[in-house]
Formats: sequence, C-alpha cells, structure tokens
Amino acid sequence: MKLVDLTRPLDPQDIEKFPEKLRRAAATMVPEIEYQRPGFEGADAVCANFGCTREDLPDGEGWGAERLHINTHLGTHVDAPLHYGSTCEGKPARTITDIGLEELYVDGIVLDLRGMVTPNEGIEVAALEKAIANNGAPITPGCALMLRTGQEQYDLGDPKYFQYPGMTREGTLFLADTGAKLLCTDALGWDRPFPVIRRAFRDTKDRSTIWDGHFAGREKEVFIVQQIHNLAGLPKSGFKVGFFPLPLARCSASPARVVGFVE
Amino acid sequence: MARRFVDLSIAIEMGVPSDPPGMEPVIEYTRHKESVPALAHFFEGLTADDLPDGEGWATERVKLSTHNGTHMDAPYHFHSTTDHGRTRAPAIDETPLEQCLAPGVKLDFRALPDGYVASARDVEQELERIGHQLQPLDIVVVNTRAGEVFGQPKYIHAGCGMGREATLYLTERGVRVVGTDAWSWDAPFSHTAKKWEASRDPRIIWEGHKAGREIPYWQMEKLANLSTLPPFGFEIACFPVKIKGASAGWSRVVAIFQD
Repeated sequence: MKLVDLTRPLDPQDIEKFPEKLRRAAATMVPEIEYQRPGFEGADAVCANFGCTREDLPDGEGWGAERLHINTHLGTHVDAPLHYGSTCEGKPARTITDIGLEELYVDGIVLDLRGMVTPNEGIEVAALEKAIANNGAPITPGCALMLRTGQEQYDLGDPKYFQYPGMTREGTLFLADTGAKLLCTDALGWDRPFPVIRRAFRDTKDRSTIWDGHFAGREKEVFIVQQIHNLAGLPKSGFKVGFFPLPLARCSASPARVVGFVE
Repeated sequence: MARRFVDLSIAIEMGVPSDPPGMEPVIEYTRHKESVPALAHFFEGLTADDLPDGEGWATERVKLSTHNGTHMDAPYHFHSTTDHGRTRAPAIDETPLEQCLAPGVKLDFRALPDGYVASARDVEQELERIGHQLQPLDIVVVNTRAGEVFGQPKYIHAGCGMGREATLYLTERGVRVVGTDAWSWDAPFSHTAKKWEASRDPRIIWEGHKAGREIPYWQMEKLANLSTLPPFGFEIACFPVKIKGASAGWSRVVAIFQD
C-alpha cells in the first residue's frame, strides 16, 4: 500500500510570502510558533526542570520544543458541523470530538474541476455533475469528495491563491445530497473568497450570499475540509482517506494529517 | 472484512491535569453569537438579523506546546544530532509516513512501580511472555500504571519509564516508533530529580530520550486506552501534524483492527 500525504505543511515563515494587506487573514494558513532549540532555550528549560547545569547535559544540549498559538481552522483541517451553527439538521451540532473515527476513514473520490471553474466565482452544479460523470466511480455513503479546482498551481505568495473558485449553498447541498460526508477542496477556503461575498452583500444586501457554502452545512450534515494538498498524487478513485483530526475538546474544527491509502 | 478503530489519543482539553501546572493548553472558544462582530468586519453593514438564527461561526484560538496532548516526538526533540552525531536530527515534518502505519505491539508494564526505569531485560521478558518476535518497524507501545490515573494531578508522577538500555533494545532491532501512556517516555521527572539529587550522575537525565542521539526514533507520549488493546494483532496509525522544523507534532493515534 502506498501512503499519499494530502497535508499542507505548517510553516511560520510563510507569513513572509503574504501580501501585506492579506496578513490579517493568515491565521488559517500560518501558525505562530515560538521555537526552543536544544542548544539554547531548550537547554535552559531542561536545567530548570532537573536542577542541573549545561555541563551536566550531553554536548550541553537540552531539548527542542515549541509553543504555538493557532486558530483551529489552520492549514489542512476538518470542520465539525458546530462551525456552521449551534444546530445542524435541527439537532445540536456535533463538535470535532463528537465525530467517530469510522466516519473519518472513508472512500475517496477526486472530482477534477480544472477548466470548468472560474476564479472568484461559485462552482456551478453542472460542473460538479460533469466531474462526477467523468470520474465514473459510484459515490458511496459517507465518502469523501475531493475537489481539484486547479488552485494547486499557486503558492501562498501569489495573489491568485486567494482568488479561488468557491462553493455556494446550491453546490454544497448538491454534493451533500449524493450521500458524501467529507467535502474537501484544494483551495484555501470552501466558500467563494470573502472579498467576493463582501462585494455581493454590499451591492445587493442579499443575506443569502453570506458564507452560504458553509451555512448549507446547517441543513445537511457534512464535514468540510479545506487546503487539501497534493490531489495530483492520488488516482481518481479506488482509495481510502484517513482524516483523523486532533481531538481538540468540543472545538469547531481541528488540523489533521490527512493521508491517502492507495492499494 | 470489518474495520474497527480504537482511539489512542487523549482529548486536548482545559481543566484536565494532563501536564505539569503552567504547561497546560489554553483554548479560547468563540461561539456563534459572539462571532457576529467578526463577520460584520468582513461583510460591511451586516447585523445579526442577516444571519441564520442570528448565528455566525464557531471558532477557537488555541495556545499550546507541541508536547501537549497525545503527540509524537521527532529525534530533533532529543538532540540536534542523531546516529552517533553523524547526522542532523530530523524534525517532525521530516517523518517518513511509512513508519507511522505498522503492526502494533503492547508491552504491559502496569505492574512496574512509578519512577522505575525499565531495562532491556524487562522488555525482553515481556516480549517472551506475550510470545511476540519483534519485527523491524513494529510500533511498540508501553502500557504503564499512569494510564489508569490519567486526569488526576498524580498522572505526571505515575508510571515506569523507559531507560536508555530499554530504548536501544527496541531501536537496535529496527523499531522506529514507540509510545507510552505516561506523561513521558522517561521516568517521571519528579522521581529522576530525587535520584539526581542523591547521585549527581548525569547519565540518568532524560536517558531514554537521549538514546535517540545514538539511533533515531520517534516517540509518542500521553497515549490513551492501551489497557484495552491485546498484546498484538492490530495496526497503529499515528500520522503527526506537519509542523515545519518542529520537535514534535500532535497526532490522532488510532489502533486499527481487521475483525
């Protein structure tokens, strides 16, 4: 079996790649990390714990360690229904620690939408239908549909990374109605980019444009997964995906090391 | 064939003494009504009336160490070099995924007292008792007495530790990933600090971890539910979160049974 890493690395130095005006939104892409290095801060920490001196440590080295300050929606992460509302399908919404492991190890299907989507716009249901037909694999209950939008060609520093095609309420409910449970995208976000929604709301005052892709998850329970990496490394179907997220108690999401299991 | 999963990770949670005082994770929860101003910041002129049931999103900010919760240490945690000083120690983002999905083996060390440092002989005898021939890349997890007192203040002082000898016994035989349900792979610091005070022998300081200077290995701490596992006959999946250059990464560790 081949393991395929589908996770975007978390690197605090990525903040340097961000256009200045977008740094405010970096919390879902870049962690804040304070590093303790074995020969420096980590040696002081070990000495403080054991009451010894650096001379007592091998090569004068203690441990490497880190402190992080992160948003739970950081990097490749799994959203729990709680993210979209306090209720889901009329019942109290599940948190990330309420989701069973068996729901997070599922069949994976890659929907290749390249050439069928437009930056900054909603992904049409017709495009989703066509991608499902092109794939040909049956959509099994609870499976993961993984949208390959083409965003993989852009790095964080590129303005185009932030101009991704997004999912609307209509598209999200269409995918949810197929029986799939994990709805994944290689884009930064599931919805259309926030500036696009912002303009739509400003111009129309139509409240149904606001975060409509995520809010659709209030009506039909789905787990949205953003910033899936390396979809090019997978076959189009016939594999499993493990999404096991960190068990952050009662949280609305958590980062996961997402791995494809290809026989 | 049905697959069955057993969760081997503790929840990352406030108010549960899973780490020494001052080292616990902090989670700031923002709930749906509280996030309305945040949404209004993105979407000019928006009020609660524009949102379904007046609700925005739920999110959280978390302050934590890479060593909070169930996590996997990379060789870089133990020292800046490994392989007897010959190579730079790999960080957690450099962990080969292939070694994070492999047959699991459980050593039952619950009878060993708190602070005891397990030896190579202890490991060998336990493997004989359970009747398992150790294979390279087996994921070996140690069930100590700490598992049953998790959630109590005494947790961080409980359980036996794995010493340098016991660690090398495993890594010399090709084991690369190990784990414990105690706070640390080594004996609890409070016990070692007493021995250090009496002997001033620097070789006992963090000796199991420092065995990674000789042979690289990856180590999981604060595992859960080990007492429910059989000695072998299952796989462990333990893919760590991919943090650039970090000494460790949290992991949702899962035992997988093919029933």
